[in-house]
Amino acid sequence: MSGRIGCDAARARITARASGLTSAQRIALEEHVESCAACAAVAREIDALSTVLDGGPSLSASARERVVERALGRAVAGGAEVDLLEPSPRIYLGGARATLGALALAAAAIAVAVWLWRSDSGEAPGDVPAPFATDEPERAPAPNIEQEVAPEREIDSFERSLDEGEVLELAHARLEAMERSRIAFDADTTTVALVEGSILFDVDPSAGAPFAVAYAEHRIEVIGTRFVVGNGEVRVMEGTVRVRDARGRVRATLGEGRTLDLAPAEPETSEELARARALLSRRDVAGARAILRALERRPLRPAERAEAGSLVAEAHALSSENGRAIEAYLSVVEAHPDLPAGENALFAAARLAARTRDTRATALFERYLARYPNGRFADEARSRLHRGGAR
Amino acid sequence: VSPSRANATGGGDLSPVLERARAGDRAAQAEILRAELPALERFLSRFCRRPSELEDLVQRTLVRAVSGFGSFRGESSVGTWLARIGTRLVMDDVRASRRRGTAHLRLATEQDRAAHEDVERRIDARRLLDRAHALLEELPAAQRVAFVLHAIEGRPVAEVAALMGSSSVTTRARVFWARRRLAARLVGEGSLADALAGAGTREDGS
Repeated sequence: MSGRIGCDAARARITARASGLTSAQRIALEEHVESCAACAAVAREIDALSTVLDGGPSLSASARERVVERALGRAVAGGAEVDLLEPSPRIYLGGARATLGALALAAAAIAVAVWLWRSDSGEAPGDVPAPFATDEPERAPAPNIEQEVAPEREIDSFERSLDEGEVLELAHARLEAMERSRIAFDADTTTVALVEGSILFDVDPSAGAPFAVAYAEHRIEVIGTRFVVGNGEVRVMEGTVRVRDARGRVRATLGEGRTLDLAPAEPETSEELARARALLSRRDVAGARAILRALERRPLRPAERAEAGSLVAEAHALSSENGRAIEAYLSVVEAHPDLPAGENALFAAARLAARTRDTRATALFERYLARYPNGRFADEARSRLHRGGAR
Repeated sequence: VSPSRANATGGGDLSPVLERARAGDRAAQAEILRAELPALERFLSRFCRRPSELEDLVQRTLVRAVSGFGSFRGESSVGTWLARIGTRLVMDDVRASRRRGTAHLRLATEQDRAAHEDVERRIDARRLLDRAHALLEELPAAQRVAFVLHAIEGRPVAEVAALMGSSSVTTRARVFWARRRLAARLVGEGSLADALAGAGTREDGS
């Protein structure tokens, strides 16, 4: 089995070095770093950060003695002020839709209970929950834990913000905000749209129901997994997710440890050409040119390139840059004489020349007829030549 | 044997000194805290820029520990217990400082300079430390704490998760995002490693 690892795994190991790697992991990491300048730079920077933090402040001998004595003295004088078991604020909104008749059941159901632990102990004098690492027998709920049974209601669609660390249980998924985030929830499709921030999703597989996340013009479909969405990516911690783009096409199926950049996929060239044409029909030359410039950087099929060239010519014409427009049409003709776009471009060039009294008009109609004697515009070309002056 | 290590297993047999500490014996509590203080101080120093900040943080951790001794039953070592208390306080502090919007850079004061013969080296170290903290302060609180505990302190993910009261998956995700962001800043916008090497060069007198 190959010991080669990718950048994702390498960087996870760079971070984990301090807590110990197996020799196989270490060797694979070293091999990767030797051949990957980017990961080598990350390793170097993390090392530097560690070194700098190692040089942080320290206490003098007198300060050490002082803190111990003060702690003992304050604890005696001030009494207990322990609030070490405060969990992160969390709000449960989960559960299926229920009816008013199920109110009594719902009162006992944790799934629809709304719990709110306040993290600010200062607001709850006398609140003395147990310290962290105790195994005290269960006690009555501490006074700072507000437990409410939510009135029976449907879980409607909503939009809301989540503070960093806030937990939201929604249907059969648990959401934890990795940073301040904003989501919108569509109850009908059980879809969470991540508007900003990043969220760790933990979806319960036993529910057997679909759950989806909409983000960056993608849809992430999942049944039972854990994954993080945000910062332009989806990263799967456990299980598998399927990522669809805005057109519903599967972009990727991601397994554990995989990351996918969710930068919006490029629109289809045909869509972009249609957009450019629509903009030109509204005389939005700048908008159309922006699209056409972007298309120039893409590998285009001949028909698409011919179409784009013709639209460039139309944009020039709309800007009254008639000479440039004719040249642009003729470029299309030169490059794609056998395509319908080539024929169209040659006739368009001739017609524009006639309309603007360009001296090349007659020659262009003649050229058209010579090349396309049975072309779609042959009759009109002959008519114009017959009338004289190609008017 | 450290008085606090003597009970590191399972909740049953507490060392005599811990039993006395739980019963409120101040001398026993002081003995335990003094034994654990170096490790706690080193751990908390990762989150502080100045000795005064560190003293305040250690002080508050110990105050809470003393208040909670009575209910400590040795499910973990005292060191781990103290680290959990300290972690919670660090999380609170980091979140509060993010809300306040701390000033990131502070140059060495004249008092700082006078206190040390090697002024240049001291200033370099201070600036680097300020810069490192400024970078870390850009991270969400939980990501920052998880990253420091795992990548700098070298605590395994499971231990970091226990200290922070979260799952291993959440912890791995936090470390992942923290590393991603830090790497982007450090590699993309300004190398701390280069600055560290530069400071070292000057320190050597070149």
